Amino acid sequence: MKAGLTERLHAPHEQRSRRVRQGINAIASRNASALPGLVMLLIVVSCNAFLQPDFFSADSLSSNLQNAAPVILVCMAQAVIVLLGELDLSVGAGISLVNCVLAAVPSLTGWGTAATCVAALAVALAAGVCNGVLVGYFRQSALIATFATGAIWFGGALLLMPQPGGAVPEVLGEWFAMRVGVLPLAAVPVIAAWALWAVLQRHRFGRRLIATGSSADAVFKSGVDTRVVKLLGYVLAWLFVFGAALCISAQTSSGDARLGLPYTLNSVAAVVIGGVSLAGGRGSMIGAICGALVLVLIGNVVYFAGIPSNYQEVFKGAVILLALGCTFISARKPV
Amino acid sequence: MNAMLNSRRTLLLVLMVVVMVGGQWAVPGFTNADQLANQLKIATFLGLFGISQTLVMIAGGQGLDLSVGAAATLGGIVGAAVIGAGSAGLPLALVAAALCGAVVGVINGCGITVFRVPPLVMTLAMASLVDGGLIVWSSLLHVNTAASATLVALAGRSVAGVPTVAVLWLVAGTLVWWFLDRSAWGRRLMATGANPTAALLTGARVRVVRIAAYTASAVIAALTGVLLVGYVGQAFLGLGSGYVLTSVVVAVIGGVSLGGGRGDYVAVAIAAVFITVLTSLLTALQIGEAGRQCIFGATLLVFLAVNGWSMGRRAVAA
Amino acid sequence: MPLLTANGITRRYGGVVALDNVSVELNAGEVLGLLGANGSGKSTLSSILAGDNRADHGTLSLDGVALPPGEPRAARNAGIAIAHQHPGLAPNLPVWENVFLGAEVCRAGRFLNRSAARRRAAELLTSLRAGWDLDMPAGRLNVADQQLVEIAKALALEPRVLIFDEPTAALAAAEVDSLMRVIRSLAARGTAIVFISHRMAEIEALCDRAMVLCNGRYAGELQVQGRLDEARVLAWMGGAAGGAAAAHLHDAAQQSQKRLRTSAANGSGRVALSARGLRAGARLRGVDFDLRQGEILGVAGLQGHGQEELLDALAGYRKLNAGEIALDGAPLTVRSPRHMIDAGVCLVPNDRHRQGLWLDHSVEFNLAQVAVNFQSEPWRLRRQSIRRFVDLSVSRLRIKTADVRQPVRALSGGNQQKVVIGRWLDRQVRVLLLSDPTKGVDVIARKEIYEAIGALTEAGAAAIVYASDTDELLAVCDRLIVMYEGRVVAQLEGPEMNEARVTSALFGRSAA
Repeated sequence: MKAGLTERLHAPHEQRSRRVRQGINAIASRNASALPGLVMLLIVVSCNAFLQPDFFSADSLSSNLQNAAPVILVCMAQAVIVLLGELDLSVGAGISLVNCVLAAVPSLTGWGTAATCVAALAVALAAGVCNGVLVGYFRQSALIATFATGAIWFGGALLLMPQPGGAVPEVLGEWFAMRVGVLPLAAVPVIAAWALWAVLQRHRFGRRLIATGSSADAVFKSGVDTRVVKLLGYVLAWLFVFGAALCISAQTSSGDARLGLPYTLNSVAAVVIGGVSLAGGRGSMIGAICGALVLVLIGNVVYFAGIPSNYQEVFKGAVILLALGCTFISARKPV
Repeated sequence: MNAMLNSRRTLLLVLMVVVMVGGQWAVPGFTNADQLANQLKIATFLGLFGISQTLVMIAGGQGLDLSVGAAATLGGIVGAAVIGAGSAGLPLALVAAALCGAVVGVINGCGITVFRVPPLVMTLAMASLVDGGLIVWSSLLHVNTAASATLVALAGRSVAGVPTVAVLWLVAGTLVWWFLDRSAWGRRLMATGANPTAALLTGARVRVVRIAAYTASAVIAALTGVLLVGYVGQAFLGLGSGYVLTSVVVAVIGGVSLGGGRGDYVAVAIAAVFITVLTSLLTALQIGEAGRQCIFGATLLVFLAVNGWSMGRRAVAA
Repeated sequence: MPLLTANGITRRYGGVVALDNVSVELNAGEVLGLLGANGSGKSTLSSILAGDNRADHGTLSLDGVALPPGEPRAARNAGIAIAHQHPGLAPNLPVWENVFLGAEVCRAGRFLNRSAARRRAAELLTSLRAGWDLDMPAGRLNVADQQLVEIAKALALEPRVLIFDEPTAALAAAEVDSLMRVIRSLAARGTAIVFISHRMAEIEALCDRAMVLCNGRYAGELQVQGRLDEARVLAWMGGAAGGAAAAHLHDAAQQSQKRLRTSAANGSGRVALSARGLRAGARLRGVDFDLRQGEILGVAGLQGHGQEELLDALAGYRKLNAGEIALDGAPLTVRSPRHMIDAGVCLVPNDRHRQGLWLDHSVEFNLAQVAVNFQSEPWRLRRQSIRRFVDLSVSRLRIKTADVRQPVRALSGGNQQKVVIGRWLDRQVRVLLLSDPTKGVDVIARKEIYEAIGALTEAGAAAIVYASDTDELLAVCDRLIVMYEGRVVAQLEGPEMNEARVTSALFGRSAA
């Protein structure tokens, strides 16, 4: 009786509109973290459109998408790990490794395109399993452990390809450049990845992944094996890493062990710009994708604004700091 | 607590000796006086950067300073420029470098405490900004980048067979050890890192402590940069960049917890020597970069395993 | 045949024996109360029963089938559920998902059935308390609501054995009543229930049988049936100390009566702290009161009506939106905890683990930190004076610790709380703020804590104590203010300080 006292103090119609507001709040709050990233994206797109009159033409969009696809995919991979409450500093080296596998395997074994891709996928998933076991089963600090495995993947890439060279199966490059009507095929891996994530969020694995990032202890006490969740999370992420490596390899057509290294820290920056909390459990994939796009398009802005190459590094750094500042001021809570 | 500290120090000492003995066996001349002195010099720089990482990691909140490389480059370039510009010499150069480092550190600290940017991201962005700024500056201004004679002499000299820089490191290390273990400042830092709320409620100025940690980190890095210029002979872009991640690894191997609130610089110093000796051995064995990377990664993993095993045995109390 | 049988359970942590050869039997439909001082092993036993922890020796079986130790999943599958003392919720997930964490309501292929889950979650939650926002992230709930979600989570499993580990510590009276109703109906349907609580009244009202643990060993058990032989239970809980350890609040009440007379006789009616119009956050909506020198002022009220916010704001920990404070007559702007400590206003925070202690650091570190923070000459540690202070604290508060260098994590709850209080002993404290200091603390330690507070106030300090246990406040405090919905609705002293007046004020019916 007494518990209902407060409820009865409000008039019935106020209660109904309150419930509607609650519903809207629920949807908004689920994706609220992506808002700053979205705003930044709009700003950067406007800058791009302003500087580059044909920005929205099919050709321009297509080429931008081709450049962006690997960044988006590696960012999505990092987002999966970060939502899980961990980190993966080996994704860049992993891209290099998969790229070198794609470039070296055909000449080493004489396999065809399909077999090469399968081999590359196997390598990527194995790397994911390795990281997942280290972090999930052996409970090592993700930061240090993945830094260590990153060195190993880099070493592996160097073993396969001491000098840049080799030849990625040509079919990949052809497909990547194609367009089906308006849609560039480069978008397919990105869309597929996003669809997979959306489906998984309707599955209990997807929710357990986020829950583990939110509080691994609570999940464990609820009888879920968090080690398996972490392992599968890393495997999922490295599926996306494979996609990123595929896109890059299709574009460069050759193998280079140093190719992927910048992607690691960029993926972390993009994830943060997109509002995904490094503490785990908070953030949305949409935010991460926005963050990746922001990074890619900033490069465009710098180029088209005619900023001298000397200033580019500074400009990028300053813009990233600005983006971060906005994100944190608007979030106003610890990330 | 003491037992655990001592065991980490002992473990690292043993490993270091093992590598040295193994090195001498595999590559004769590995442990002769000149070689050792050389390695000690290299370890000095790693150890000095290790101080930076130790301080910010103890300060808590997943503390990390990925801008130490950029700060060192900044300090080195500014220091060389100041020495070249006038005859004021070394002291002024050090002050200038320290000031630059302080600016970087304060910005890092403010971003991390006031804007709640994660240290990983903040220091990374700062590094990018500083590196970029230096690129611009060096293309606009042409300043002296050569090390002054004093600096080169300082870096090159030895006292009774021990390199002067190593003596400097010893002094710095002792100060750091005193700071952490025997001063109220050190306890305040540990308290802030281990539980910032409890620290706040017992009267600590949490923000000030954290900003001070990042400032100290950057200042030390900048001063180390000046020293590096003397060792290398020239100030150039990318002077410090090779040390960044290695310094984090050294701190972690030395037992400093990423979670904050715990750390022992003596172990970190031994770790710095150990890593240096290991890297030299790999180079001396003429193992290619591929092999070196793999071995580095594998060693770190092995060490993490050892870490986890010894922690697991200890953390049993209810 | 008993439903759940645990035989010879032994659990050691390093050198400390948490449980020594304890056996329990539970029958279907029975409510077993589990009692014991802190450190007696109740939580360890319940976590072993639920599979969260594994025993070093001993067996566990449900319906005669042995259970594998240390596997929460196996226990849940077998039908054992536990509502933990500290809620294990995922703070970023909405309330309804937390209720089914690990036991998601699924369709084919393990895809979630959101609507069914939400409906069932709403049912379970409203049986405990009406009016829930199912989509609110659990991290934003207050402590009481989090506890209720934790309970709903256990209920959702529809278990055969349900363990409640101090479920009512954070709850208000109405919620406790609902919970008891729920428990009774579960028992009627054949669920076996283990109920751990420090509150004798609840054990009396709810349990069929009560079992007492002392220092990890089985001390005794008795049938309850509406009446609990408190003297026997306390004797068992105190172990060898026996009657002397029956440190009752009645004693403390007599002490406080004495104190009132003495302080009144001293003519101190001087106001140590006065507050007008304090507002902070959403919950503190305008509080006025005066605190007299040497008095213990109690703050009573249902959970979540602003008491915690009041104390946090007075300490400088939470931002005050409006209001004025004057200390000893001089107006004071609240800037930060350090500033308030300088002025002599010190806080013993609500959550001792998260806000009050450095768990992995030594008892000495924890006790000395205030002194270290304010020490002049910070380039060295005054080790000797620190050691002296630490030893003094330990002896004055009777902190039970093997060695001041052991990590404070190893101490029992009551002793940990004493460490949090003890660190203020050598400061010139003018006002000591205590936010639910005896939560999760056993009876004996409670008495010692209140004695310490009494000693501090006799030395001239004043204290404000917020406690969720109204009986305790009535016994110990000189004056009482009651808060309802962020405002003070009653100020009671002398003959007016009785349970009836407090209860009516608790629900917003202020003094006529």
